Amino acid sequence: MAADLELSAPPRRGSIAIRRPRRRRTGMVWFLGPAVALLVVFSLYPLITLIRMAFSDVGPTNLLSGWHWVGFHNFGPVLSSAEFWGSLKTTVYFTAGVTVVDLALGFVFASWLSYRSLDARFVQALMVFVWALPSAVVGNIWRFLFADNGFVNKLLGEVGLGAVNWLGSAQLSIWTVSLIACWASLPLSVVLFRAALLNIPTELLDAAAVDGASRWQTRVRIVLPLLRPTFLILTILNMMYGFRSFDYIYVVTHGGPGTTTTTLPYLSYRDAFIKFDFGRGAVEAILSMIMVAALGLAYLRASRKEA
Amino acid sequence: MSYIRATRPRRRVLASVLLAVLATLLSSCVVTSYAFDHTPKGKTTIVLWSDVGNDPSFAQLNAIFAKKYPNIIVRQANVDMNNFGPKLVAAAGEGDGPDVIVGNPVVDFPLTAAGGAYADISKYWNASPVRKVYPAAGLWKKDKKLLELQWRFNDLGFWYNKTILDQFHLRPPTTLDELNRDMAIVTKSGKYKGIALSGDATVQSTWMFVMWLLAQGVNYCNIDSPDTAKVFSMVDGWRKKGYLPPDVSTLNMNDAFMRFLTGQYAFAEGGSWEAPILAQAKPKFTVGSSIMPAGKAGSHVSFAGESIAMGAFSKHKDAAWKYIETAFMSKQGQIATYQASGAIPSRLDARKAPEITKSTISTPFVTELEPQHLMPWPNNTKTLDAQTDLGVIQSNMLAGAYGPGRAAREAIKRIHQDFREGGGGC
Repeated sequence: MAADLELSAPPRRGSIAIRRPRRRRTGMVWFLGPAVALLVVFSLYPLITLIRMAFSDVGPTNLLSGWHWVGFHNFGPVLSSAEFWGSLKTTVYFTAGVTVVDLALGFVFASWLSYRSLDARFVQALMVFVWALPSAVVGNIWRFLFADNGFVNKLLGEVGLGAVNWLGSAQLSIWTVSLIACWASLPLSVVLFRAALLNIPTELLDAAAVDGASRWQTRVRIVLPLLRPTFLILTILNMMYGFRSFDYIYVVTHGGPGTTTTTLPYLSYRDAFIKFDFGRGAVEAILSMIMVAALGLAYLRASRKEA
Repeated sequence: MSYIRATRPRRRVLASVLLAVLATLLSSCVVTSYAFDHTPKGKTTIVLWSDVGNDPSFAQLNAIFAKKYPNIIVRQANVDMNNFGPKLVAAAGEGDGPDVIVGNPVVDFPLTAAGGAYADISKYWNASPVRKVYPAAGLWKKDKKLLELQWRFNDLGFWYNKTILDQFHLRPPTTLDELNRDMAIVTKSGKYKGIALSGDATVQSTWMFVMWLLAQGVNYCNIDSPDTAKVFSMVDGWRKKGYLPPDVSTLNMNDAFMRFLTGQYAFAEGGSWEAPILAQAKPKFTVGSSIMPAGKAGSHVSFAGESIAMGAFSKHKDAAWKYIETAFMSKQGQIATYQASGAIPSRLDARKAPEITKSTISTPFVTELEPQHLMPWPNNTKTLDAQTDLGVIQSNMLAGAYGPGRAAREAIKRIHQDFREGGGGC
C-alpha cells in the first residue's frame, strides 16, 4: 500500500497530494470507460437530441433530418394550454397518492416485518417478487380486477355493497391508477423502512421500556424521529417515481377516461407519438424532466445530509 | 495452485458467456429464423410489413399467390399498430423499407404519405384489369399520385340481440327515435341494458361516435352545426339513463362487443369483422345486424379497414405488384379475405359473390358502402389530430368530466384549431 502513495514536497495549502501511479490511472480509465461511454450514448446523446427537438419544428416529414430551429416558439402553446396545466394537476394528484400511501403503508408493513418470524420472512420474499414484476403484467392484472364486472366489484357485491366505477369515473380513475402504482412500489418502501428499523439500537428501545414508555409512545417519540432521514429519502424517491409515471397509465387507462389520468409523461407521449407533434412532445418532456431533476437534487442533498 | 490458475480463466469465460446469454434473454431480444433466411437461386424475396399481425387472411392469400408465382418468396414482418407509421417513415428517411405495406390509411395516410413511404403505383394500376371493378372511394392519392389501394373495407353497422327484442315485441330500430324508444323499453325492465358502446379516448371509439353525428348531418367539416350539441346531449343522456355500460369511458371497440356477447345488451355498434368472433363465441341468443339507425340526415358511415401499398424503396417493384394484384386484389383473394376476417371486399364484383350475398349478417355492411351511405374523410393533414381530440372529448363526457354543452364547445374549438394547423382545407 505504501508504494502506492507518493508524498510530494512541499505540500500545498497544508494538504498531502496523493499521486497515483500512471499504471493505476490507466487501469481506472478501463474501468470507467465503458460506464462513461454507455452514459454518453444512452443518456447524454438522447437528452441533447430531446433539447434540440424542443427548440425545433419537427414533424413526421422531417423527423430524421432537416430540423428547423424555432427558438422558444414551441414553449408558448404548451405553457398556455389548459391540457398541460390539467396534466400537471393530475401528475401532482397521482404523485401525492403514491407518496402518502407508500409512506404510511410502508412504515406499517415494515414495523410488522421487523419481527423476525417465519411469516414475516415469507411476506417479505413475496413483496420482493411483486416489486420485480413487470409493470405491464401488474397493470393488466389490476385492470381486470378493477373492471366493472371484475373481482373487486364482485367482492363488494358479496358483502352487500354496490359496484364502483373504479376506472371509468372521472373523479376516481386517477386514484385507482395511483393505488395500483402504490401496490407495485410499496415493497421498496417496506424494505428501506425495515432496514432503517433494524438499525435502531435496541438499547434505546430498552431504555424507553425501562422508563415506562408504552409501545405507542416508543413508536411515536423514539422510532419515528430516528426514521426521519428514511422518510425524507423515500418521500423524494416516491415523488420522482410519481412524476415519471407513464407505465401504469399507459397499460391501465391510456390516459383516460378522457384526460382524467393523463399525467405529464403520458401527455408528452400522446403529443409526440400519436399526434406526431414531436416539438410539442419534447417541450412537455423537458418541463417534466426539470421537475424530476429538481427532486433529484433534493434527494442528493438529503442523502448527503443523512451520510 | 496450477489447477486453480488453469481453470480460473476458463471459469471467467464461461461466466461471461452465461452472463451474455442471460442478458440477451432478459432484454427480450430474440433471434428468429428470419435473421438467417436467404433467397435460393432463381427466386426473389419480397418483404411485407403488416400492422394487423398474423391476420387469418394472410395464409390463404399467400397460398393463392404461391400457386401462381412459386418463385417469389414473401416474408412478413409484423409491426405494432401504434408504431407502424413512425417506423415506416423512419425507414423511408433512411432510403429503406419493405416492398409491400399493409396499413391503416385512415390513421396513417397523412403521416406515411408525407414521409415518402409509398411508391406511386399509377403505372401498374392503369394497366390492371382490377380498376374496372374497383370503387373510387378505395383509392388513396396525394399530389395526383396513387399511393394506396383499399384492400378491405371495415364499416360500421348495428348489431341487435333478437332474443331480447322478441321478448318486448320490438323490431330492429331503423331511426334514432326508434332506437331511443326501444332502449327505454328494454332498460325499464331492469333485466337488460341498452347499447354496448365504446368510449375510451382512442381514434377507434371516435370513429364509432362520429356515426351519431353523421346521422344528424354533422361531420368534421361542419362541426360548428347546432346539431353537434344535440348529438352530444343525446349520447350523454344514454349514459345518465343507464343505457350504456357503467364503465363505457374505458371500453375500446373489442371490449364493447364482448359486453354485447354477454347477452345483457339489446344493441351494439360494430363492424362486419365481428362475424368470425360471433361464429367462434356461439352466443346463447340470436344475433341480427342492420344498417345504422337513421337520423334526420339518413344513415351514414365513414369507412376504415386496411390498405395495400408498394414501398417507395422496393427493389422488386414488379414482384411486389404481382403480389398485390394476385393475392390482395384478385376476386379469389378478396373473397378469401372476407371468409377469414369478415371484412367487406373492396372489389365490386367480389361483393356480389354468393359467399357474401348469401350472408344475411353481412348484407347491411355491404349496403352501408353504397355511395348514398358512405361519407368521405376530411381532406386535411391534421385529420388524425382532430380524431384524437374528439376521442378525448367524448371520453371525458362519458366519464362525467364534461357536460354535453362543454364537450360540444370543446369539440368545435379543437377541430377548427386542428384543421387550421393542417392548412385550413377539409
